[in-house]
Amino acid sequence: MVKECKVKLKSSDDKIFEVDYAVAIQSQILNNTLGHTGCTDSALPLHNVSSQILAKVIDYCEYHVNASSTISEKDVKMWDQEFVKHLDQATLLDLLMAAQYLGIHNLQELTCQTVADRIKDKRPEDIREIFNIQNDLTPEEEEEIRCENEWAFEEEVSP
Amino acid sequence: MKGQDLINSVIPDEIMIKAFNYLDGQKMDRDSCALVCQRWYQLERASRHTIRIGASDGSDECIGLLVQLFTDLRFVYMDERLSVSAQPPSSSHLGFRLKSSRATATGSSSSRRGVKRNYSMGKYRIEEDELEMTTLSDLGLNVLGKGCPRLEKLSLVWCSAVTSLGLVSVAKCCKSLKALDLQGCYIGDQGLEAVGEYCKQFEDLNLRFCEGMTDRGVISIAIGCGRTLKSLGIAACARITDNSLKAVGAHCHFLEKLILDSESVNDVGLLAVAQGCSSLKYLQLQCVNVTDDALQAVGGLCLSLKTLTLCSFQKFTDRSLVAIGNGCKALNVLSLSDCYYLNDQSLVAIAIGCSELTQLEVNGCHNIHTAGIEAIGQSCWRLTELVLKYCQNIGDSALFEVGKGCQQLKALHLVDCSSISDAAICNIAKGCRHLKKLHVRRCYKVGDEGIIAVGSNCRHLHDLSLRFCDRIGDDALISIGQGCPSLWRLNVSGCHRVGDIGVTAISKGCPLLTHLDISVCQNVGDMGLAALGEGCSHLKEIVMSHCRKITDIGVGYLVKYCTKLEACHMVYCQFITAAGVATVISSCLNIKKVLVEKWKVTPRTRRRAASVLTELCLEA
Repeated sequence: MVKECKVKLKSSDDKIFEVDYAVAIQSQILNNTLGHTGCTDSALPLHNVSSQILAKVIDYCEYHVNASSTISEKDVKMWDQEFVKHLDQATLLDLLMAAQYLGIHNLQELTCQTVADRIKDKRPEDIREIFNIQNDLTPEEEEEIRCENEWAFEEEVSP
Repeated sequence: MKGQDLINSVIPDEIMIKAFNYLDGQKMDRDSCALVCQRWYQLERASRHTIRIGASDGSDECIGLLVQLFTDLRFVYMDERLSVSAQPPSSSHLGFRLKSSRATATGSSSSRRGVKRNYSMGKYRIEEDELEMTTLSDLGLNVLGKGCPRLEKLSLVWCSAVTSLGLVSVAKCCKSLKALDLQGCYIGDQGLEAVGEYCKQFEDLNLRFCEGMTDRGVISIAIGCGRTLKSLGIAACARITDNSLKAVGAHCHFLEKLILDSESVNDVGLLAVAQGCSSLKYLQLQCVNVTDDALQAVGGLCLSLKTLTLCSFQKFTDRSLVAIGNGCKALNVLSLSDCYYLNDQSLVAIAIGCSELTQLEVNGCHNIHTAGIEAIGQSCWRLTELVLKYCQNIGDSALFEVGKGCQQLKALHLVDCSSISDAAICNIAKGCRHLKKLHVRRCYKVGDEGIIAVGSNCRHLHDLSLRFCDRIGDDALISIGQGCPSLWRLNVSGCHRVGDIGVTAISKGCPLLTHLDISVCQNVGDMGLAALGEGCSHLKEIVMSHCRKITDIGVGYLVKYCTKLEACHMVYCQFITAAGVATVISSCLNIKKVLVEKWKVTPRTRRRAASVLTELCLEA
């Protein structure tokens, strides 16, 4: 039985968003909650998600409600890539945490993979630059880590 | 100044680790992460799953330290062919409070990578002084087992000091073991018995050159892990016979992959597997004693077969392949090497019966002629890869049919096919416009005309190799330069008509080029190198040995712009001097390998770059 009701969500900064039931239940957390309470008029508070991020999450979920059945896998992938492409680091990370908190599995995977993609093929100093990470390793410590890294070969020896 | 740390304040440990796992296990990426900051170092070390190390040079100690450092190892590869000249930390430590023994060890930091990695399995040579080194022993394996309780895969290659006892201790500690790869080890049956007893998720056994192993060991795996075993490989283990295969057939009903390279296996063994393992998907055989009887049974019983590889002077005749064609309708990949007794009939039967065929290799089967390949071209429209090696009897009309019928072809390899000419290549080019990879070697009738057609039609070409096709010259490369903008790999080694004009055309038209081999192209000179410098900034590897015209000037132009260069081969280039070598080393910060004559390396260069130099010693 597909529920036709609307679900109200309240962001951490008290903005209300209204979404279809089908969109909301893509979040495991909301799915469980709505399973207990049913559709109500009161807004479900999401203390950990700001309005800016919640808007993006809703965009994602709205697209994905029908994606698996009506849109080709290739197009879905392309949409996903566009979705994350221009996100700045802070937004991406907040989105990752929101996906985690709300239990939206495919968004978690997408954002996690995107973080990995931004780390890939980069030198340590570049990674620090991207995320504003402070280098708290002394030069000696760095040298020792490089030493450790060198023991373990990863290249396969071909027979 | 820089602003707040965006990530470490937001993302908790488990998610950070998850992100590392999405790095596809690339060592370089993980190494970088370990160097970012203290927190990332610790998380990375705690979550690295894969490690591959040399087994010699005091490595029992190494293991102890490794398992303390990397606390979640799942895939461990120990390979005695990798000699570790690295100075492992001499004191135990946790985290990075490591007291490196670098200062006291012999040699400078550049000798850390004095690795000889050119051994092939059959021709392994033991260097005199390596025998003195202590190698991985049972003690080390014991420590490994205790330190990696979640171990899933263990690979021991030429670990000559390890015995069954070591494997027994691993089996007892690592109950989740799924895969074991033993090559050139003296481990005996007792070790496998322990795996059969304790490791109930075991899926994949590979044995190569295991003289100590007999049927007893393999049978205990078949019985103990019968429900889970999916893959079995046995090569050059003389004491493993049909009895093992009978046990496999009797107990391992979910077996999907079987690789056999053995003179001790006969029809009765393979028959037993065919009868018991109906889920078999992948079969590779190099067994001189197996005949049609067994292979026909495979055709009749292993209806899920997807990949079949038959090697070396086997006694199979067409009867076998007819049976395969009739029964194995799911066949995707077929590879036939040195199968002397197979005729065109075999391929006709496969063509008609196996419409899902996507990859075909015919290597040195001298009784397969044009008609066989014609049949493939006529029926196997899903073919994406075709490899024909040493097929002097296959003529142009075979490739005409392939060009007509196999429009999805992505890769074509032709080696020593002396009857194939330009006409055939033109037909392929026009018909197979999705071609990504074309490798032609020593096909002396193929010249510019064929390759010009490729350039005009095959826009998606990534990888072109035209080795020792001495009729190919600049015109061919001009066409490729115009028509194949995605080309990233080009090999024209031995095409001595190719000169600067051709190379320049490529550098203008193929900006994505990363690998180039122009060795033995004696007409290529500095102009060509300069053009490469200007056009191909992504170049990672260049082989220009025997290019007698190039000088230090050309090399200088090249490396000025091609700063991503990782490998450079330049032996037998008489006008390249020590200065040129030094320029390469100093300009290319990512350089990993330079092949050059020993006498062109000055002491200073050697000090800077010993780890990347591979020096050819010639008599003056």
